[in-house]
Amino acid sequence: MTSQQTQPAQGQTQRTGRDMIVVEGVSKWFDDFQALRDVTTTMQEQEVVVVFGPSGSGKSTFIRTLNRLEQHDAGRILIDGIELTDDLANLEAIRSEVGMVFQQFNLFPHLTVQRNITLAPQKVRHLPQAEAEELAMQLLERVGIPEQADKFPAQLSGGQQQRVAIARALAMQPKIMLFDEPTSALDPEMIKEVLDVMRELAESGMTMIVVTHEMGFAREVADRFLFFDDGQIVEEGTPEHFFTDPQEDRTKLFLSQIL
Amino acid sequence: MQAQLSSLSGPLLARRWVQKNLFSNRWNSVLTVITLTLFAVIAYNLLRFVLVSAEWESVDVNRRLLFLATYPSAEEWRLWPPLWLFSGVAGLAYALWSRVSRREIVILGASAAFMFLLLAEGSNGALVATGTLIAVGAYAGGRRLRETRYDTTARRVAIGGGVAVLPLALILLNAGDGVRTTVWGGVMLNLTLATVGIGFGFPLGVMLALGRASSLPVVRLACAGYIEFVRAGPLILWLAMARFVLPDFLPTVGGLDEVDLVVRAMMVMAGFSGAYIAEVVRGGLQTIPRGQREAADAMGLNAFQTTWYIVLPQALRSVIPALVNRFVSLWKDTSLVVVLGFVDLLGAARAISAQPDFVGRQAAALLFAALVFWTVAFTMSRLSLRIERHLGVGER
Amino acid sequence: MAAESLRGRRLWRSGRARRMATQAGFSVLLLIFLAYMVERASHLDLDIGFMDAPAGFQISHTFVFGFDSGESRLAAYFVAVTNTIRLVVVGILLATVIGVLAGVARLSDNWLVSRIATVYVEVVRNTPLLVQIIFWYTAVFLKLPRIEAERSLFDVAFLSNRALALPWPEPRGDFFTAWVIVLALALVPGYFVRRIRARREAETGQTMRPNLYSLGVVLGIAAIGFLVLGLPVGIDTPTIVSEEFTKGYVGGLSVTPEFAALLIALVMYTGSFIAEIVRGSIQALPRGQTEAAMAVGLTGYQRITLVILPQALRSMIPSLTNEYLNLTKNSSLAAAIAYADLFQISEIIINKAGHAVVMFIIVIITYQVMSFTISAFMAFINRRVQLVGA
Ligand SMILES: Nc1ncnc2c1ncn2[C@@H]1O[C@H](COP(=O)(O)OP(=O)(O)OP(=O)(O)O)[C@@H](O)[C@H]1O
Ligand SMILES: [Mg+2]
Repeated sequence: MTSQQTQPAQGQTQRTGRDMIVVEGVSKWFDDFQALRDVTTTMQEQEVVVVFGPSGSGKSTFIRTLNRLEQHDAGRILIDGIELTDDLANLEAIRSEVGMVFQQFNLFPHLTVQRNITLAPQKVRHLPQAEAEELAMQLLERVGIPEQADKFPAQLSGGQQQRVAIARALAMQPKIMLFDEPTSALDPEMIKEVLDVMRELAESGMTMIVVTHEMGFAREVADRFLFFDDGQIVEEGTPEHFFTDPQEDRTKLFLSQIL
Repeated sequence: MQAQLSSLSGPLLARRWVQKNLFSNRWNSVLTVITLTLFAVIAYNLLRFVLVSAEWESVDVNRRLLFLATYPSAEEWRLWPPLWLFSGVAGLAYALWSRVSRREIVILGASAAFMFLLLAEGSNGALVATGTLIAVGAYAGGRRLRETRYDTTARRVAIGGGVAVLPLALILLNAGDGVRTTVWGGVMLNLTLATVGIGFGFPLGVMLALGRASSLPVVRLACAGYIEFVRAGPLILWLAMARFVLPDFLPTVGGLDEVDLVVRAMMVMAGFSGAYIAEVVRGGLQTIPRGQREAADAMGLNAFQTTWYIVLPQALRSVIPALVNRFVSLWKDTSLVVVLGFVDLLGAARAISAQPDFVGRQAAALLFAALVFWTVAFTMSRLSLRIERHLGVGER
Repeated sequence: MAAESLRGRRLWRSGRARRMATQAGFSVLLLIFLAYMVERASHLDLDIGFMDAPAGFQISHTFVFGFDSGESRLAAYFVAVTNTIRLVVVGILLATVIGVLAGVARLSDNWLVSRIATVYVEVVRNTPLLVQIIFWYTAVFLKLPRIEAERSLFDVAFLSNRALALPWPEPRGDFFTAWVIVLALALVPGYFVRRIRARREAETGQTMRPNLYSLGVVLGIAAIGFLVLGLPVGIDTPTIVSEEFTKGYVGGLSVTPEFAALLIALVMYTGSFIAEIVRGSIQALPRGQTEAAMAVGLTGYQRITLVILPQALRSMIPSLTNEYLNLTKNSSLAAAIAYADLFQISEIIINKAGHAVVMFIIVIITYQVMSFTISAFMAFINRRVQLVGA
């Protein structure tokens, strides 16, 4: 891949941790269409990585392969040292280590907010009900809506729903959080409340991969940017690098369009 | 405007109403006159029949025949506990899951009273009254518990009780010497067939629907094949199969050379309604957005948990009206067992015309049978419109 | 040894392997079940030869094709199939008419009309069809006077418990073919008149009434044909004939009470379901449609026929197809009042000759073929309707 360019980690906060996610030469096809082309990158513990790029460039596909919502067809993915394979035990381990937040929230409409959060801890981690509920309340506290615990998702605003979705993902006590355009289905006035929660999460040392085009937020929070186009990482580096000195033409063009 | 209207006198108001709703223009007036004439003719004939020519005596003296047919009196005690349990569950469920509506309570109460007061004879009055009291008590209790701490528990009790009705009835009917199925009859037979058809057909239907949506090709094909095969023929054909063909294919267990016909008819009812219910449930499964499964996957729920906690509750809720329609159909379809020679409600009504006193006069009894079938079916379809969206809320 | 067990565990933990295993297990169970069925069936005589034997029974209702007890069972079955088809085709047509009328009536502004339609729908669709069939048959048609004391309408139509005899048009021999040719030829100028006027209307914007004019042309030619050739069809009225032991009707159209009872019950029952479909799809149309139609000044009748029904029709077709299939399957209830439909005749054959499995397979295939034909026809209509709407 000639266009792939790994920038030296200049000015990047060097986390002391180990490699949390290792992606080596990953490719993915939908029938004849290649959605990922030989993607290689590594993310360290506590690192916050922002992924951006044009629509259809494979951002969603990329982060969905990281918790195996999509299976990759070639290459290797290691999550916290465990390889993503067809092995169900590995999958179980990975699913409880990687939390995911979706663009459309995907809350369970037939369950209360609290039940949305306690379901997986109880059924997968076998937490006793009382503990699960206590955990749910703590998390709702953390995302700022403890008073909504007994409501149903449809009774909440979009911003509140997305915060519940974050709490729900955190309830499995993941080591990594994936966010796929968490604010793009939200009205402008609700975006901030969700970004605030994510900022707090990043500061607490969570390893995060965020697909977003909220560049202000991204610049502030991210340790590293990945620019995707046409199923590959076109450019990779610190926020400063992207804002001051982007190398690739495609990157420059895209940044000029969204900034 | 409002004030003007209310200051008008009654007759004037009525005139306005008639003008607006019946004679608003020439076309409407013509329509009104035509329908009125038609209505008058039908109403006159019907009334004349009901009040003059129908021999209601034939129904009156045959109440037991219509209710239980040849079921022995000495064994009636076996029927009451499941009926009471059913009344209790119905009252409780209605209190917990439906919105408050006096009108429906009246419909429900009236149809239950109608069914049993008309059908049960004198000595059973006390037992019927007990059932009614249980239902009313359960309703009152349910209303109190609703949306309190015990709400969920109460709902669980209702569901558990509902599930237990069928086993309880079957156990009681077979306990001790048991009652041979050949003597089952009357409305009780229709109710039993319908309950068995729903009780076994519903889980079967859900499994078939899940199988048909499965990612495993063999499972998918087998389920689709079963569903389409069953739906290819009319129920009456499958019932005839139960008589002519099924004995050749059923295993002969425990010295029985033949599974008896009532049981075979039940198997057909369950298998038949299962196929149709599966199609309804499939429609519900298709309404579940992909994101729901993905979210469940991402949280680490396994396939079974995802289906049980996330997919099925939503899918079933979205098809409640269609499901109830299936149940109504099944209830109506129980009348088809007359082709097997069973004396169900319809069979009993027809049998009356063979009695020396009422030779050839079966119109009254038929009308009565129609009324009983109708009351249950109508009540069911009315209630389905009122069931709350939040069925199964608070699964905690 | 250790490596082997490790591999075994790997395999079991692999999602793909587990899916394969599930499938294999399910397939094995399925095969065992099928093998069992086949083994059981192998004890049965699955030869179809019994259908060639003479029937040995009469068929009380025939239509188009006659039947004699000396003919084969296959011929009897064929006659029964034509009986079913007759019931189904007429039933579908009438049920659609009743259903659409009742469905529109339920939404009528006229209070009385909408109430009566509602009562009809709620009463009929919540009562078992079989009860209705038996009621119509025993309590209405069999209660009609005996043929000796029949009721007649102006001496041209007769009602009795033997049959309903109605006047019916009958082609008049020699000139009928000539008439068909004249009409076919009249369609050609009619078509061109319509096309020309429609195009001119589209070009100039003036009202050219293309349908009216082309109809006029066709009718005009038909009128000339009438002057030259005379009436194409005569009205054939039934008359009673009495022979030594039997009385009956000759001429006209006479239907048996069984057929009449079945047809009415099927039509009323299916009509009530169709009414609900029609009402549902009309109500599902956006309110704006009615309002827009009002705004451009269409009358109530025009609103329904030009704007509402054509749109509702499109969303209706799948459910309508379903009701037609239900009617087809429900026609088997004919057996309950001994109308010689395909199911009743097949039961008679089974009673006489056994071979239930083979007979039922034939019956299922017959129903499947009919269902398939109806579905295919409705799919064709659906394509047409969708195209027109596009
Ligand atoms: N399930 C699928 N089947 C076939 N093609 C798919 C599927 N999912 C994604 N694709 C294709 O893969 C490409 C990448 O999709 P992806 O959703 O990853 O893009 P994206 O970068 O997330 O875009 P967006 O910003 O619009 O969300 C697109 O061209 C898309 O059409
Ligand atoms: Mg995306």
